[in-house]
Amino acid sequence: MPDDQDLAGLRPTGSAQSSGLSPELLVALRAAFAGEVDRRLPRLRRLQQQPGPQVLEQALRDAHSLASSAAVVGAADVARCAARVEAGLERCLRGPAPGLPAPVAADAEQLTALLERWLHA
Amino acid sequence: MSAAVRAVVTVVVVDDSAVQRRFMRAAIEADGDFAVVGEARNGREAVSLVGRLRPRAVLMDLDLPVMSGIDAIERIMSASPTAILVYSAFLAGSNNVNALEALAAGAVDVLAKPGPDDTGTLEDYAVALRAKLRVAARVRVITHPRGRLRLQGMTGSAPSLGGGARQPLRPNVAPDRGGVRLVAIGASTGGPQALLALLARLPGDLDQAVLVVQHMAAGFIPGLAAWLDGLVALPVGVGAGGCRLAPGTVTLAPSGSNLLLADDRLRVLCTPPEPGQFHVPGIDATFSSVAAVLGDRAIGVLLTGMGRDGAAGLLQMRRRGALTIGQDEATSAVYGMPAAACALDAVERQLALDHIAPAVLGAVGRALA
Repeated sequence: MPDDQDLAGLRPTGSAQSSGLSPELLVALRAAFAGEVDRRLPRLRRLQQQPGPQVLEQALRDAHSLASSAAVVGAADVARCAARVEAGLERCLRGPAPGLPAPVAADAEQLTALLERWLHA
Repeated sequence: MSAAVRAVVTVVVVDDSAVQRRFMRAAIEADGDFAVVGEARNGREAVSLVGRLRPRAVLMDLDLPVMSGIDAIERIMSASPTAILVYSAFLAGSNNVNALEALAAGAVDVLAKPGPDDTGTLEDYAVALRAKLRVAARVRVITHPRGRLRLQGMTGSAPSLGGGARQPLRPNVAPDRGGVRLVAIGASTGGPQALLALLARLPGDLDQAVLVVQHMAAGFIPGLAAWLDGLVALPVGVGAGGCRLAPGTVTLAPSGSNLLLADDRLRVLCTPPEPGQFHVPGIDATFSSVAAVLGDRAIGVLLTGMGRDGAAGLLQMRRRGALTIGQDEATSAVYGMPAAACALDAVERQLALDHIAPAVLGAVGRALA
């Protein structure tokens, strides 16, 4: 009977990835992540164009999802940057002043660049 | 044909991210004791799927499109009560509170999503996830009418868990215990709801300090404190080494260390966990320190939870003369820790959840607010 030590789909690979995921699963997860990036990236780009509240709300959701998904596929730099964007958008949406503060916009720009690089790697 | 029939824990995974659904499925199904029987991409799909498939457990992200995770939990717990384990990414502030609201809405437990700075591997995460699902699948789930959480939150009225008549197993005789300075409470699975039920019935001018050790995924304790602080009369905060527990306040033990009572001025210390200690913060460690420092000038309360943490510490408190209370089986989400305490004869009074606050107040000479 399988137990917690017998992880058929999650055996350590000994590869550069320290995730412990099997190569097959990692390939599948990366393909799914590429799909997510494809879908969410255009919406994140809209943050550079004086976004309204609806765009900010959607971008918050996109950044939130990307942060978690990137962590799963081992894209730690994307995950950290997306988490910063998420936190910045959260403050922005809760704050009294409309618009996107420059530091958050800069993080968002960095995130889109990282995602584009990831897609084309 | 094999004579052995294994009960497989059926699970529905709910997440709008295909990456997360795929990962969670692999993590769960790496153990043949589990089977993912369905996946939902939003809250509405989750409600429908759970009603149709009736899984043993649901693993749900909180941040969902179409219908939020909180709304979905309320609907599921109202229509087809199921053990729901929620997971959430850390974000200072709102997400932690959302996780606590999910627990109050009927979710069994909360865990963090994998993060880029996690020290363990995803394989480690999968092991921890399945351990949580095992516990969740054994939890007693009750119908949880939609809107109940909000009503309680708005009114501050005491929540009531479980149903039917609740009678203490022993006569409700309040012993005369003058000079009680501290109420120490331990809880695990199902604890946040039970803590709310108990603390909401304590008055804001309580003369005693309240110290709480709740087993919870690292990072969620500040959210638990903020959530409770908004719903109960006593101010609620997270403890730190060197601070003093003030009368009329509730202090939660922080993640990552044991919180020990250091002296009778009610100063506390944070100490590293013992090697091999499974639950951090540990209830046994805190209760034992309270027993050593305050003896009969303390009350120990052990609430719902899996395992046996707290039982030995509660026994030490009882042996030093403290009033010791264990939550009864009928109102416990998981009757593990209180049962272990009863087995050790550490429990002086075993009470239904709704009777614990009156018993504590009676023991310190106060009437129920």
